[in-house]
Amino acid sequence: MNGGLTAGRFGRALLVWVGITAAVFALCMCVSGNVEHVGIDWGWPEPGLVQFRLSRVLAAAIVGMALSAAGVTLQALLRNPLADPYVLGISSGSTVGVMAWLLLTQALMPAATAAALDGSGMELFLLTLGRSVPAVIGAVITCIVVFLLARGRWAGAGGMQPVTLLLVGVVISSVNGSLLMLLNSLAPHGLRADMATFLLGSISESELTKTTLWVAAGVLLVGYLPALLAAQALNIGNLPDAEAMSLGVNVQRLRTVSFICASIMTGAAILLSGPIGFVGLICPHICRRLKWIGGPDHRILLIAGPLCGASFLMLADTAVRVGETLHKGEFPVGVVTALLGGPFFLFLLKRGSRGAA
Amino acid sequence: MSAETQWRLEGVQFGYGERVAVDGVSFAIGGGELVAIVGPNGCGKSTLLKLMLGALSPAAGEIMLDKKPVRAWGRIGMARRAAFVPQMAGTAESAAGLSGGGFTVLQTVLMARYARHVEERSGILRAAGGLGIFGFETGADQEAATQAMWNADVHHLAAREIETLSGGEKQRVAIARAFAQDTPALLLDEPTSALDLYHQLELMEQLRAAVAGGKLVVLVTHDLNLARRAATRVLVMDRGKMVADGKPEAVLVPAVLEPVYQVVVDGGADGTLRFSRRATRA
Repeated sequence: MNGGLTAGRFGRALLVWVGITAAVFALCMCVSGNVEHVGIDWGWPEPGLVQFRLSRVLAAAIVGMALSAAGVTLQALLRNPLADPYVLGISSGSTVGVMAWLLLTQALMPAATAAALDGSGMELFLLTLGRSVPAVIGAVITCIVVFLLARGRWAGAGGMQPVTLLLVGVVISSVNGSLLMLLNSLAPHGLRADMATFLLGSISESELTKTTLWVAAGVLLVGYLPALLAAQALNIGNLPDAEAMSLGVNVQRLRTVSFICASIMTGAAILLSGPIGFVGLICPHICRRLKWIGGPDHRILLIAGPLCGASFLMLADTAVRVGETLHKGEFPVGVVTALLGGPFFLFLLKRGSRGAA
Repeated sequence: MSAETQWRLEGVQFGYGERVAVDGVSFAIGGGELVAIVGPNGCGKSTLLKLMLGALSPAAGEIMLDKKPVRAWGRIGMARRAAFVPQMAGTAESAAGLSGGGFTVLQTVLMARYARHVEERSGILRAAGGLGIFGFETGADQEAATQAMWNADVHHLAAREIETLSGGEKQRVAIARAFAQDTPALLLDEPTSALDLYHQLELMEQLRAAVAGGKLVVLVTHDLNLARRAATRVLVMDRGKMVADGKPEAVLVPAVLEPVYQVVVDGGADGTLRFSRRATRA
């Protein structure tokens, strides 16, 4: 359990996590709210509803996977379990990209936007793909700005330091927050409500199409696969730089690649749901604690973390979906994850400061 | 391969901003030597080791390893040729004091096998550059790690998390990791600073055995008596410059050490050096 990673140990962890995720997926597909009896219905959805529910559950899985994998990667990069796409401003940067795009398309092509929302042909594809590009570009630009500032003059001779990176991320995050407020106030009245829901982080069937899901899954894979391939190097990246280098890891290159991978994965999540907080914090931490099927080794953590994230968000979003049906109102999933994640973040912070004392 | 390992430094210069840390240093060392680098605090010893490893690039001069510039070997190539034990090793300690690690001693020692894994891959996977690959540890890796943990006397700590170890134990884990890397050269930066007497003697014994087997050991130390007993060659540094280079009995003498350390040195009849404070420092 405490030694190296063998194929057997890896296979066991993979099997358990795939099993958990599949079970949660089946559960979420079968649960729905019943307005008439004010309770929960169990059972496979009716044929007309399957497509809707499948899209929503899959979207939650993709977002959960993306945020958790981005969290694992950023935590390794910063050697800090408190890092996640939110802390570094990557989520808010990606959201700025999407919001700017929404405003721009609304202003320049109101007809195309309306046609796309009616679900017709090429416009829909362009709108979907169009939205993924600013999501990733927003994340990558934020990532580059954070990265350049953190590795500039303040970094010293040893290159970019994790603490500097974290501080720069906090500053950029609040700048992005202001930009979002500005964009929201510039938006026409009709769009403002949509943007506000998006800002809170929600997964809604009306926005989801097969194309959106495929594009988001594709973007996720582009960020995820290089990170998974670098898993062994990420383990060593946990050591001080000179030690990691002497073991054969190109530390600066590892940081650059993992930062970009984390940005792309965050973009995939933002594309589907807007910013949903703390998934990237909670799920990797749970997996680190479950040594039998997790632990600190990134070769397992980059499998366990995303699958745990998928399960967690599928469950959270199902709770939201049932709640929405019963209360006949909008109820963003980001609120649920923030209510769970906030105290969890404080718990980690307290535990960390006690350890450091 | 080990007997041929040779470093050649030619007029190497390096500075941190305005401050010159290494100033025109030249020497050549090779397999079968136990080289001790000594000198006062801040004279550039640790910087010199990092330059030799390619972790820092010289501002001027040339550093060649086995007839190739150090940088040209790449990270993996260097990691297959030289292992490094840093000053008071901060093994798997997170910078913020909040442990992102949680790695055990065995997992940390097994990290030494990474470069070997990458080198054994071919084609596209290797083309991932210094990023490496996704691989599992083999029986040979486990065996090498176990042997290295025995040699550094940390085998009984194998399942412990690094964060729970004492300073000396962490230093021994870093030494075990360097042994497990199984390279023709070992560079150690004050490896005995946190070790008790028993483990200091044990380590020196291991290093002597490695040198007898044709390896090159470079040791930065403040313990001049240890350098005198163990080293086959001593390099003395002062304010970035190399001020003496030779056999211990020729170099570790009052005429060389007194101006460098600003202390009174008494080379006793039994060969043990004794030091006392000068009334005033020059």
